[in-house]
Amino acid sequence: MLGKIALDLDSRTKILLFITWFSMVFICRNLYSLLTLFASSTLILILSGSAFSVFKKMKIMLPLVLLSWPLWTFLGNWSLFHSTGGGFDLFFGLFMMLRLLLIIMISVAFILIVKPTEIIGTINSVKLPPQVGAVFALAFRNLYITAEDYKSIKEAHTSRGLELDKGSLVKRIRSHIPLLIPLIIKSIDNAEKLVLALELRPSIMNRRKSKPLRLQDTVMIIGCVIVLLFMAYYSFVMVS
Amino acid sequence: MEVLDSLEVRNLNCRYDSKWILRNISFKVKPGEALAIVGPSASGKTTLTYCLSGVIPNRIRAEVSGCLRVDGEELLGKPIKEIIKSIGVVLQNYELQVFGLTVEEDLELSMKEDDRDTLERVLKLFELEKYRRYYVHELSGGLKHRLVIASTILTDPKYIVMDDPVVNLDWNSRMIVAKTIELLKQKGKGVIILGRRLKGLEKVVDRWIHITPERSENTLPWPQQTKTTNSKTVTELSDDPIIEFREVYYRYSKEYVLKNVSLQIRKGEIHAVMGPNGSGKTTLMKHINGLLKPSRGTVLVNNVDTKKTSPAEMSKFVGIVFQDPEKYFVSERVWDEVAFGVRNLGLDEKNVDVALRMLNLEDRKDSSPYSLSMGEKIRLYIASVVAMDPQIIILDEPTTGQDEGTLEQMMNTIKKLRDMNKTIVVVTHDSDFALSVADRLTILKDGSVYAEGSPLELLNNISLVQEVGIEPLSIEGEEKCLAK
Repeated sequence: MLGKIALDLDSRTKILLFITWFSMVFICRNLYSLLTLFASSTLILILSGSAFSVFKKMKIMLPLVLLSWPLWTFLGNWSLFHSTGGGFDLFFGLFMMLRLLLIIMISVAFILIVKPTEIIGTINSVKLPPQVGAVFALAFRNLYITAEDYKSIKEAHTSRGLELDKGSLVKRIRSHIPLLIPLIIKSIDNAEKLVLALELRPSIMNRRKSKPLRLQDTVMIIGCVIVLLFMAYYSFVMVS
Repeated sequence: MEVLDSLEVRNLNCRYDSKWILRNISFKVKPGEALAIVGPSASGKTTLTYCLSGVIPNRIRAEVSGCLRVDGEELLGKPIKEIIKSIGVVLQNYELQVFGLTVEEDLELSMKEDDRDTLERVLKLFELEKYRRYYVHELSGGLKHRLVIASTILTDPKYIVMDDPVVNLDWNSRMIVAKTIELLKQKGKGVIILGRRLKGLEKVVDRWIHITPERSENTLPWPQQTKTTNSKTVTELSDDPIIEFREVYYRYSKEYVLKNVSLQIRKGEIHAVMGPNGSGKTTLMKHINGLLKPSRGTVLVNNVDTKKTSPAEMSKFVGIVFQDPEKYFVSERVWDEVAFGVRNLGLDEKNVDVALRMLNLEDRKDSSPYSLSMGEKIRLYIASVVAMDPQIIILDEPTTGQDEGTLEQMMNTIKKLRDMNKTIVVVTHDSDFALSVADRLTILKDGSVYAEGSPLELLNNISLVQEVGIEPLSIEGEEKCLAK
């Protein structure tokens, strides 16, 4: 139910929701508030049905998150330019690890939930020149084209005996060079042809009409603004 | 009296530096008429498209002369934005004309006004309704091509130029293009279709023009077939399967693309795989050399389980000739390009010279791969695979975009490879080609083997061909059937 509501929101609302969520990670200034945020974020992801895919994608980053704990615990008070004493701070290490974990969690959720086309929709709906939205759309589209080219070139080369995943790191990097040559040539060629194609279809530079916000979107946007203001007031005014 | 209501090209000449590409090209298209301009590779079809759209001389520097008149107004040399008001263009490199991230978004971007009814009509006409929310990169090549044609039509130009519009399309999609052209004609649009072969559009084209390469191309001929034992029958082939699919299932995400595929390909045979776009042909092909591993079931190639072997190791006995060979060139010299696979596998470099000789590319060994003609580029890629001396060679859509001459020569090369006791798997949309070269044929539909057997029997079965939606045999193909 919650998942359906979240996915059904207007692209502008979704993006504002993520901005609020992301900002809260930096506004929270103690371990307990971060823990509360982590628990509520996990609950939201579970209820929205995205938890499995988000945690699956996060798996690869876990070693980095775990490594951050001892690093911040033991080196948190140390700097190349000044020293504030030294020693270790277990809570500070935990706080920073949790913050990193939340940053990764929200970023992954953003990538999985907000589609590129919704980002473009949002850019088009604010008063920016239509070319800005078109340039972003083309950049996203080109990303897919390059990724497809990379995949097909990789397949063609491994089919001609190129081993990419064996040997030392240096050998593996060297093996990737034959992949880059055709990819670069293709990308330059694509860029030239894309300019031609753009000239042949100039309508993509026209401004698109944006839909008016619905009630649930308006309520959600007001909610986000209130939460942001309250959190900022609490963290920066009340606590200090 | 001169008819003003037309797109008229008169005495059009175009040359890059000293090379003439077009000489004295003249034709006229009236609203409600479809003109086909057919010619082999390098005959100047794309150059002509660029001239008609204003890309030449506005963006590509070339010397151009003659007349290009639309409804009496001279447009040659005018800015592109003025020309495209009356001439819409579908480029050969159609992928770059997709600007939206999703199908629906791309169509919306082409519309002059926000008109949902027109959008829905076009989605229905091009059978793109179920793909409307798909990301463009999730579509097959054929579907993308269909989308670009649909988007161009939405811009509502009076004349539409399509460069090779059926090159990647299966039979059903070609019928959709044919239906669209008919509809455009009824709406009073003039259509110019350029291509090497325009199978499937014969009924909707009103007039045909053949163009030939202006300059005598410095292209080496394909190797002549020396002694073709075309009479090698299925019964003469070894009974041992060299490729075996055992109840194979495969899925990219949620839906299975291959479903319960069981198939045996015998040593030394030429096996064709046909099926409409999205039927799983490419997925099946990629399983043979381990680029894809089955989600369920087993693929055995030369008694090796592909699940446990990397594609690089599989390349010792399976070679794939992909479409668009120039996309994969890595070397500055033809010889080095052929040696790429040989070096990767640590084989004797003498193989390179043997392969170049076999594909008649010896005299080109010091040239740049990019300077070769399209036919030569394909031969170069085949040579680079042959040099690795695999027992199995897979050809992915080798007929796509090829002219008749190149096709004939490719058939000879395939038969020559078979005479060397190679097992050949050909993935194709071209029924005539499959009939000419294949010993056996597998037809896929919705990821399953729909029919398997002799090409003669299967392709001659009209109800089967219609059910699956593959290309029917041409009159020449039917004659071959009768002769057999």
